[in-house]
Amino acid sequence: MLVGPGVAWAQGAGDDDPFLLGSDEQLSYSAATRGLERPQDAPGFLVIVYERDIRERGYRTLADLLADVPGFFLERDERGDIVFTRGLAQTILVVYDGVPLVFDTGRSEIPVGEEISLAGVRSVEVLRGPGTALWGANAFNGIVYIRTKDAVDIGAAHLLADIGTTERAGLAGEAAYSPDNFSIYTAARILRERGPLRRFKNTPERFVFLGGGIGVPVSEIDGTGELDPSLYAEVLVKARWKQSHLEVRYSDFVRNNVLSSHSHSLLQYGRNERQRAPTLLVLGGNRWAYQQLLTARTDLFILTRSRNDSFPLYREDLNAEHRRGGLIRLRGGEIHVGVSAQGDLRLEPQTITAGVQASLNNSEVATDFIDPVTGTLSQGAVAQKLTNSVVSAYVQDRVDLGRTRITVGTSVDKQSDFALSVNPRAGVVTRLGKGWITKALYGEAIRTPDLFDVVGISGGAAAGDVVGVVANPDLRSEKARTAEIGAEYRRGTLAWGSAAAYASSIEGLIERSANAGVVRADNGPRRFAAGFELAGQIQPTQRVRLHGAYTLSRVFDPDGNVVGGAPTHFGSVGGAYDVLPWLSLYATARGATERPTLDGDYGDGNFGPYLVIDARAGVRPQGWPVSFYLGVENLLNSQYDHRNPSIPGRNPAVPIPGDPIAGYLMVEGRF
Amino acid sequence: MRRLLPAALFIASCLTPVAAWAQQRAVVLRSAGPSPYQEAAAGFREGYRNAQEVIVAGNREQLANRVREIDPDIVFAIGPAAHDVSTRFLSDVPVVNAFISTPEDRSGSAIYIEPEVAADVQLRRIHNTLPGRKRIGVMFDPEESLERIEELERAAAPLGLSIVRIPVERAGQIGPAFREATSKIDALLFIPDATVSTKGNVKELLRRCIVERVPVIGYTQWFADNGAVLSVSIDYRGLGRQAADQAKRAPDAGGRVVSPQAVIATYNMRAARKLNVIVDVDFDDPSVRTIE
Repeated sequence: MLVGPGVAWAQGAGDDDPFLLGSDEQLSYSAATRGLERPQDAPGFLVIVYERDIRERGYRTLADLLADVPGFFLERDERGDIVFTRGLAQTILVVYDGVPLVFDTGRSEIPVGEEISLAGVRSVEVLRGPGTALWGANAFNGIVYIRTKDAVDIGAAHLLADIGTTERAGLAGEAAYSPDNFSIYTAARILRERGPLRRFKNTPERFVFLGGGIGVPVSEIDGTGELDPSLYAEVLVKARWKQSHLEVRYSDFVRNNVLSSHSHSLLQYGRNERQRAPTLLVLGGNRWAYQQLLTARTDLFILTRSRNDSFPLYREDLNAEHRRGGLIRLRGGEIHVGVSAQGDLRLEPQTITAGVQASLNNSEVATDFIDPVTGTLSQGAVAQKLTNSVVSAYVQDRVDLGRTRITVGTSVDKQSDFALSVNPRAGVVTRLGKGWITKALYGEAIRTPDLFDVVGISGGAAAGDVVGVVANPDLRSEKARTAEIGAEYRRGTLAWGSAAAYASSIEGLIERSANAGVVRADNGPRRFAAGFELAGQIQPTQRVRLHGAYTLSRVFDPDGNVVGGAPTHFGSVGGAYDVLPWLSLYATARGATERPTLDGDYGDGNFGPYLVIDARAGVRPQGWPVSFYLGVENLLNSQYDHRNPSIPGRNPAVPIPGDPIAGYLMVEGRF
Repeated sequence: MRRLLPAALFIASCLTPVAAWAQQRAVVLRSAGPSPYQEAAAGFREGYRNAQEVIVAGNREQLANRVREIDPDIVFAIGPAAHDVSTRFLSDVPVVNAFISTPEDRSGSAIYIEPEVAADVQLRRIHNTLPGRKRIGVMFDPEESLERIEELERAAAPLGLSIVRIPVERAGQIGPAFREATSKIDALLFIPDATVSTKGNVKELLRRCIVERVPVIGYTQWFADNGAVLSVSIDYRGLGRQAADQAKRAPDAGGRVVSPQAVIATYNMRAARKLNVIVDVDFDDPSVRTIE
């Protein structure tokens, strides 16, 4: 049987019509419109990172990947990665195969670490700017859309193993089976690593800053400076049958951070803070189409997570025998049951999209406390049960006027704990020809407060003397209004580049302050953010691939004073060169200028500028199904954290050298 | 007024043929079948807005009589069943045929639009948008497709491309032939060859090409949908428009065979990235589609 229409001609009818195969994949599903869209037509400044880039550049986590995207700056403190987007911390939404990963028991936690493996990811689409008009609350300042692979993306099997000098050992595998009309894809991964923050390891000379700026050497707190290993596990199963799909993802990790500055006040500090968060996502749905006129998709999802965090305490006000005896344990569990339904009506030249995303969430958190002096365990010292509903209804009209595409839309967002909010968005994309495109965008977005801040939670409050988060039921959602303008150039796989300028006004940004051992969150005064972002990628020859990003970013208050913790200038460049058909080299450099510390986290002060260079070699023997990657991180590291903040009269500036050189070997097999 | 008269006469003389064909009665005789047939019919109606459409079903002689009742000046026959009706029962009516796959089906009294994109059009796309891909391998059965290979070779030379012949006589030779050829080719071009281009063979070859990092170029969009870096296929709506144009220009130029003019080049960017193939294409080109 010939492939193509010839089959149908010969047979007289198209029961085996190849045009029905994969036809909806011609345009990629874009987070910018929740529809099929070419990246260049999307109303937003997108950076799409594909599997090849992930492998070539050695990204192991979303944080690694985001560090090369303009507008994104990654700061690492003792607990993990803080994602600054356009100068604002933790303001993005991570969407996993269409499901927003927002957890009530930790809403401000952004999963950009090892908890999401990039081994099974087909692409990551990063959209800067407000996204509430399509993705609901918390798509405040950017969306990171993770698209996992399907059976078509791999052969029969794919294996990825890596070992590293940081006591890292990981194994990931994928397998696929796809007879006609049915496909199944599975991925699994397990990783052991000694701490996500190696630079804080074994550094007795380093100071940890307790609230109020008192410095204590790490060795004084933990006694050993050693760190327990962290473990990550993940299983993903996806099945497709005609237009229906089912996806189940289970992940679990036990992560040990070096130490915790859990509340930034005087007393509550620990080492080997242990987090565990088993998470289950079940996603199933259907697509339906009536000719080329109307398409609809419905998805049902269930998202559950439990968490169990232990914070060993260091109480410097106690005598030596009791100083390390206390513990706070935070236990939580939540379940979200949701539905997402969307219809797209194509009435040339318009495409009208309407949809709703709604979920009912049930959460429970409780804390246990071990008194450092008596050793007494108080279970359920503080317990909270939360039930809330989240509804986001949206409508969008895309009008294709030939060279110009206009997108207007809005969402109505209602959460049971917060006031109703309307968030419009509009964009004009104009193709100037020869690959040049201009984009002008405006959007509004909200971010709802972390529920801990609303209802309050504390490990020690009930026990009398350990800091807690006091409830502030008057907290309201943060609101951002952002205008963006810029230009893009795209030519095949040969080159793309974008330059964009933005300005935002942010109301009610939530700020936490500690007073007398109690942390309280309040809506802060208005802030402004503005900046300029450049990004580009070019493949001038078959052997050379270059990419780069630069950001100028400022956040300031109405008086013009700079606030926030992101640097003014930061960027990265990277380049790959195929020396031989079987050997390629890659090197990258990332740098940032001096930056202020986040208010309240370390006291006043600045972190210094830095430059980090990593290198990587890839070997793919011809005819072998196996590739090898040998990487060296921190080949050059100009003192990642140049110094801890200096507080006159209390702390000296303490130089903190960057991570030491680390190496890893990754082996990839495709079968 | 006098000064305007020559201009008016000139315009009138220009419009006369237009007016003539605008009054022509046209019939789209369409085989029941896949969406390309419908697209071609829609394209034809862009040229003949009053064209009536007749679907081939039931008794073909009665169907031909129905067409005769319309008394058409031109018939656009789409697909083998429509071709059968037109050759057997409408031989005295000017017919433009499309979607006829084998030369033996062609009679001498009609215009035929070939079912394949012309070799030079196909190769020019490769030359212009896939830089560095000079040695184009073509797997074929000499008994089936030698003529097409020679046509490709003639078209390749002026573009600086070379056609690397990979002859096979039966399906069992495909695997070894491909293994032997991989180091000698920069891309593999599929042609509609009955021995090679069966669905099973193509799927297996696509898989092997991805493993060996050889980009594939196909002749229908199916290829791009299934992992080929490029497919150069017929724009079916454009084919319908071309049929209308042919009918207007030379309705009685029977026996002519023409190549489809409008093509769609579909680039599978995902496959290109995977295979590290540079695609130098202007996204503003209306004939370009991309699979992201």
